[in-house]
Amino acid sequence: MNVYCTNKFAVEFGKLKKNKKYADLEQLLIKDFLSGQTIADVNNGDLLNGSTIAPFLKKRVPDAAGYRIYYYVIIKDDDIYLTWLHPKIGPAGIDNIGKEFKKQIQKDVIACIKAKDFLVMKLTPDNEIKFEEYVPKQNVAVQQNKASK
Amino acid sequence: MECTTSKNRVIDTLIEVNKVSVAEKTNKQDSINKFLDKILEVKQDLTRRADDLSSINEKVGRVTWVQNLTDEELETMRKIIDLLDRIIVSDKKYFIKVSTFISRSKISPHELSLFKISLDDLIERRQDLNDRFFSLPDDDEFMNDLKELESL
Repeated sequence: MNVYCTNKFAVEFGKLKKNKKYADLEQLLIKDFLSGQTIADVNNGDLLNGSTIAPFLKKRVPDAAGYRIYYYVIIKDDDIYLTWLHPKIGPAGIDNIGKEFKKQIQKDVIACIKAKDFLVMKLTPDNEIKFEEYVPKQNVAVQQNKASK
Repeated sequence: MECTTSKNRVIDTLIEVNKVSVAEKTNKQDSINKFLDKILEVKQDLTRRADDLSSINEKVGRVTWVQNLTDEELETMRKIIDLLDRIIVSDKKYFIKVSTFISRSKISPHELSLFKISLDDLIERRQDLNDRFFSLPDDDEFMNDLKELESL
């Protein structure tokens, strides 16, 4: 399973990570998305858009008092795109996202997939999340070719 | 087979939500009236209420996955949302009453906190349920974007 995210997600994660109140966020994300899960493992939660081809999901992490993680599952490509997150309680707590915000998230993910402008989420050796620029496979091959010459 | 399962899930959710909506009237009225004797009862009631709301929350989350609803099933979904509204209004009032009660008694706020978490989750799920089956499907822009996303 490939775990990607939008730039907006990465920025919001960065802000929350700096807040001591949300010190558990990173490890919870790692546990639920970056611990060898398959698409079947993450294709659950609340279905927000009714699609079984590109489900837009909300996951409560770890529970109703915790965080809300919003993501798209592109089943045919074995990809997930984390698009937004927020805590439910605390200084940055939000009750919910509304219809217009859901629409905007969908537009964002379409734009980022079309432009290939998203980030790859990976784990560092120190068990932290890092974000890398996505490099299309053909570009990787070109770069490797140049390096070998 | 799929239609039967969807219909059963929707009806099952309606029954559960209706049961909780009716149960709340009998469960909470007595516990606040008799101050000292009812403290334990209030604590137990909060816990039971939180469990009831959690049970509905789980069912509401699962019902978001039903597909291809008939008009009749959509009408049932509408009834579910109306019942959720009723529960939310009533339990919000209950929360305020109990909060006031707690400030004058020795009830630990823990049970109240758990109840509030379940109630807030229900409010959130009610909004998402309405968006899922009514607001977003009725929004042409959203549905066109979704078609585009599914074809990428």
